[in-house]
Amino acid sequence: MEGDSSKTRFLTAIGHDMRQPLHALLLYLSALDRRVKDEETREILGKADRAAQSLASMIEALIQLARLDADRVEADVERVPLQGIFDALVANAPYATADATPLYVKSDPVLLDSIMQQLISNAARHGGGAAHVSATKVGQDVEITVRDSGPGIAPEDQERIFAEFIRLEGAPTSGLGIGLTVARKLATVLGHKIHVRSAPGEGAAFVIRAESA
Amino acid sequence: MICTAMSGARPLILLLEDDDASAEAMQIVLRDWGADVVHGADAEIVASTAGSRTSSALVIITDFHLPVADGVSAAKQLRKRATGARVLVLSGSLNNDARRAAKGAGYAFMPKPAPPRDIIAWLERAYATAE
Repeated sequence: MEGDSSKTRFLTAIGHDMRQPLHALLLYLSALDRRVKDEETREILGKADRAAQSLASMIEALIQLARLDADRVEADVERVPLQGIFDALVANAPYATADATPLYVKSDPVLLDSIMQQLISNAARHGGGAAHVSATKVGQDVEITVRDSGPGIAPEDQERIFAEFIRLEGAPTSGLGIGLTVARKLATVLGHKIHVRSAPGEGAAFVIRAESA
Repeated sequence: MICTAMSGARPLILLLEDDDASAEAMQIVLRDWGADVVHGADAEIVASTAGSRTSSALVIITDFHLPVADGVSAAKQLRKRATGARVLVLSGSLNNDARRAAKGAGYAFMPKPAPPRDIIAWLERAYATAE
C-alpha cells in the first residue's frame, strides 16, 4: 500500500537522522556525569540520561516496526553465546539481573539483543520494575526467559499483548505500546518462538525459544 | 557512571567521524577515559595529524558513513601503519551494510546510538589485551 510505503520511508528517514544527535546526546550526558559532584545535580542528570535512553529506545522500536512491516529486516544468523547478550543487557539496565549461562543459540546477535531489550523494558514498565533473565536447554532448543514480578497477565490477554499499540487496563501509559509487537516480529524473522507464561498476581515470564547451537 | 584507572602513557585513539557533535562528545568521553585522541573525517587527515604516532594507536573508532571512503575502508588504510590497532565501527545506518563490512574485516561493530558504557567496556577489553 502506498500509505504504508510512505510511512515506512518517513519513519526510516527520521529514524536515521535522529540517531546521530541521540548518539551525541548520550555521549555528552556521560561526559557530564563524570564532572558533576553535587548530589542533587547528579540525580537530575541521571533522570536526563534515562529520559534520553527511553527516547532512543522508542525511536528504535518505531524504526524496527516500520522496517519489519516493510520486510526490510534481514537476519545474519550465527552461533551466539548467550552470556555476551546477558552481560550487555545487565550492564545497561540496572534493574535487570541474569543467570550465568554456557548456552549458545543459532540467532542474529543484534536482533536477539533487540528482542531482549524490548522484553526487559516491558518488565521495567509493566512488570514491577525488575527483570531476571535466564536460559535453559530444552531438547534441541534453548528457552531464554525474562521473568518479572509484576501483576501478571490474565489468560485472555496473553496473546493480545503482542498486538500493536495495546495497553492493558490499569497499565502505565508510558511507552508506545509496540515493544512486544516488535519482539515477536523480530523473533519470527529469526525463526524463534516467543510467548508468555503468566497468571494474575504471579508475575510474567516471557520465553524465547531458539535452536541450540 | 563510567570510570577507569589508567597508568603509564596515555593510549592513542584514532577517531574517524564527520558529525561535529558526535565527534566532540566522543572525544570528551575518550579523553576522560584516559586516551589521547586524534580526530578527522577521513583516514588521510587522521594519519597526517597523528604523524609518526599513527603506528602506536591502540584503537581506531570510526563511523561507517564518511565523506571520502566508508569507515571500514578508512580503518583498513590506517591499519597499514597502525598494525596493532583494534577497530570499532559505529553506524546509524538502517541496513546491515556497515555491520556486514565490519564483520567481514574482523572489526567490532555497534549501532548508533551506542551506550557510552558499551564503548568504554569495549575499550577496556582492547586495552587489557593490547599487544
